[in-house]
Amino acid sequence: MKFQDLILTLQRFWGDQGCAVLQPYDLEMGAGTFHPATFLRALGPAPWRAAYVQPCRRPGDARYGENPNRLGHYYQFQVIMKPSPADIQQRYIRSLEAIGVDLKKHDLRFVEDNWESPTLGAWGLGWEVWLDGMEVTQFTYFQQVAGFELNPISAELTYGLERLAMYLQGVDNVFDLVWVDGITYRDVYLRNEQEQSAYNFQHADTDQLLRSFEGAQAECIKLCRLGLALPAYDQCMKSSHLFNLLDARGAISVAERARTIGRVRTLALACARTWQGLPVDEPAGGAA
Amino acid sequence: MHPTLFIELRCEELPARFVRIAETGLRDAVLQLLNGIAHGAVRTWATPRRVALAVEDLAPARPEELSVVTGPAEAAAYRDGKPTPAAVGFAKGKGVPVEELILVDSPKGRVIAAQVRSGGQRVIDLLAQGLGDAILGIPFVHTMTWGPARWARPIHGLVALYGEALVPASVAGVAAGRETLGHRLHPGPITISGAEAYAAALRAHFVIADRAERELTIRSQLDAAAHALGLQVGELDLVDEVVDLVEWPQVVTCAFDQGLLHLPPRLLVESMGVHQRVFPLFSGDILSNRFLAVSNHPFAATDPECAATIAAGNAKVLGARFHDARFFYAEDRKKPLAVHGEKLARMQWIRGGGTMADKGARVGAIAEELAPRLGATGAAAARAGGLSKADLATQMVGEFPELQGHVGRLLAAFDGEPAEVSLAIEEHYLPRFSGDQLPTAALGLAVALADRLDTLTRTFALGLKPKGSADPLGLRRAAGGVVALLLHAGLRIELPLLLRIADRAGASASAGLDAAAVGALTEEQLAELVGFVMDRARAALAEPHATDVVNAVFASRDHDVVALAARCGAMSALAADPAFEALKTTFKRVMNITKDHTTTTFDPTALIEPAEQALAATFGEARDRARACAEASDFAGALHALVKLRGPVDSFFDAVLVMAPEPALREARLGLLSAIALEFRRIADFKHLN
Repeated sequence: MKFQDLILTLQRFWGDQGCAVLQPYDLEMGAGTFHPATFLRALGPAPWRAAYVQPCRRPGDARYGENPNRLGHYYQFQVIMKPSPADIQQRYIRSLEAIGVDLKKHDLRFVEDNWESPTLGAWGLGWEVWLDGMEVTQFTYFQQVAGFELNPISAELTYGLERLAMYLQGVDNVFDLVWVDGITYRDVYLRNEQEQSAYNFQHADTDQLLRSFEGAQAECIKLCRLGLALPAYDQCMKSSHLFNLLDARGAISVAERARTIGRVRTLALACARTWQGLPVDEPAGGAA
Repeated sequence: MHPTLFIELRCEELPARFVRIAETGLRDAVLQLLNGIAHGAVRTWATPRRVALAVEDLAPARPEELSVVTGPAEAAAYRDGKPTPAAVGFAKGKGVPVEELILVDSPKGRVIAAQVRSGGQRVIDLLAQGLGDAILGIPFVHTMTWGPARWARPIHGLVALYGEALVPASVAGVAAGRETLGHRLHPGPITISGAEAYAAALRAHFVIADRAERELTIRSQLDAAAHALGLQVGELDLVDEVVDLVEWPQVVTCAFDQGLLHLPPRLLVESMGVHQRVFPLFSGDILSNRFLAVSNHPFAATDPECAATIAAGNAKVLGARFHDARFFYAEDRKKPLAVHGEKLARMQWIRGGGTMADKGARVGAIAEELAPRLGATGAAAARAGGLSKADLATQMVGEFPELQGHVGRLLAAFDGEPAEVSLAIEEHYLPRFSGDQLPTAALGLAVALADRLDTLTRTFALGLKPKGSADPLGLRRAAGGVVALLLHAGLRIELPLLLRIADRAGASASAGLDAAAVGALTEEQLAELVGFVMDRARAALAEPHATDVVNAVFASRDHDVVALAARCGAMSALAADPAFEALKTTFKRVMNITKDHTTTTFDPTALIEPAEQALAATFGEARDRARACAEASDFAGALHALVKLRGPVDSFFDAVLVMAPEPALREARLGLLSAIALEFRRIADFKHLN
């Protein structure tokens, strides 16, 4: 199955399950969970179903395109369904069949993995889904987001697309993935990995990044106070990505790291409150 | 013979560590619900996707009892032969018709009474009403909500049969039925006729419901697969977890790229276990590139293509995981360990406690100071201590934190450090948790002790003592480590002295380093820290010894952990002696009668009775012998010498009145007994024995 067919098949499959098939959010983020379609929509009582590809940037994982398994920029396929359907596990298994995984030949396992994002004040319980020992999906029943207990509960599925595609195509190097006939992952992304790695590790101007980080923080809080949750949350996502860049540059000490993550979490909580029409400056249920 | 109750609860995959909790939890919850109802044998089954239980020969209902409950006086209950509102209200409250009230004699005179039936609840009704809540009440550490309820994972099926009868129970919105499902690849549905046929019915659908049977299956398959390759399986601890990751275990033989064998074997072995839950294979001590995965696949045994696919997948994961490691390890070896260590100056230890470089320097200084007491050389201890944290700056440890210490050892050996130094770098992390392995060599012991003493003295000096149950810096674990290391080394030293030595050595090493790390313990902080470590010592010794023995020994308020442990051992051995009860009585009496007497000297010439003179004479010998034994750490011998006094003490109590009217005589008798009590208290204060 070609890389783009994997995406198209998952989109079709989850579209048929009633999910709104969205396009990627147009800002840098470290995981599909940051997309407002997941982070904000998991909050509150309104039902919601969405599926989308989200490019993720993890500057610290970049390897100049020299590692066959690690990328600083990669794709997640994200599904969120609220409330979580009773047969969500069955539906997930059918989605694997849809992309050509023959379970008569493969060992499928659901291994406990309790997901937590300190940056988003979010956690959930679920599994790493293993296909022949390889983690191909993170399957989570969200319990809390931005410190708010959720009701109803959302099920979140995160497929690691490159890894899944490598397995389906039987290739050992991510850059050998066939995107479509005649075009490989190498053609699309190798140069990006090389240049972005050089930026992440060598050339990113940490003073400028720090200033941007401070600026995004101030802007986020200002917009929250104006009740503009979505533009505020854009600033929150930006600050999170700036933090990741600073971290990759080694500009943040171990002790400072926890504190900086705490600052981003404060923004995320403020956005979540604003989104729900709550005043910004009160802590969310003491969870902040 | 009554019918058998059978219950099966089906759910999404439970965390492996919850499967047994679910199994015993279901059993406890149901038996609690059926409390008071006679039953026969109870059986349970558990897999990641189901727990089940059978209660054989279960009586159909709780036994009925008839009791008489008294009410108001007859005079208030009837007027003109008719029941008053008081009588009507009483009858209604007890649930009996007013005409069935009887009259009984009570201490308050003649009163009305109701004959009340209790019990009699039917099993079916109890379960129909209570089973759902009982299941949801099973105590898991973490639970989740998924909509209808809160439990370990979403619940999907319930079978509940009492004999042939369906029990109309429900849980989390799922009503009980007679059907269950088998393995995902062969689900059924399966109609369950009862407990007897359950395991066989599931087996036909590729589920081994019995946990112990799955474990045996895995062990024998692992052995057979290893044997077929002429190799051996290493540690089998992981079996305990893997049992609860599969319903139908099928071992698959896999192999990773030979080239990966150049990596440190421990990296490969630990990653295989921790991350992939697969079993490495060895030829003698040498790691091979073959390993065994326990799949959950019914066809892996019969379909070679399926087995090959599973093996290839598992091998691929290992290859991907270690690609970086191979690169990092080669990079790390380009620089000596000490040069890696220079980067620690930019790594903070704890807020206000200086950098990791400061910590390494302090650990080296403390280890050097302690080394001679432990049979190690000071210079080697200083070297090993100084290098102990250097590998934290390597890329390998950055990527595989579980290898801290091990990477240091490998790099130190590569640099040509003496073998004892490189071994100590690895072993200084031991024990990592209570009951863990301990360093095998004196040098590792010295550095391990120094590391923990440094952590404790510096954190207490900074006022970071744990409050409540929170202990983010792991100080209880560090203190427990100190206790375990002292016991392992047999190092006789008073804790305040040991801590002060560490404090001084650490503070002097900090001179010229990050000034924030300096600051010796105040006397008050030292006392707090001694108490903190003593609490761990008490907890450690309360495991092998009875609480009253530990209390009796710790009553002496001295702080030599090794001696305290030996004294507990001697006391526990004595407590196993058949004569112990009598001994205890005698010497508790000595302790009690002297509790207000403050001097432990006496004038032997003031003693007049033969029995007391004899006791005084025997005591002198016993005391000298006991002290000599204690000096040589032979507390069993010391105790043995002292308990020989039992006969003379008993004779003394029989022959003399301790509280003699003559003050000088009374003083001498109390003094003699106090002297005996003192010798006992040096080992254990019998007053605290139960």
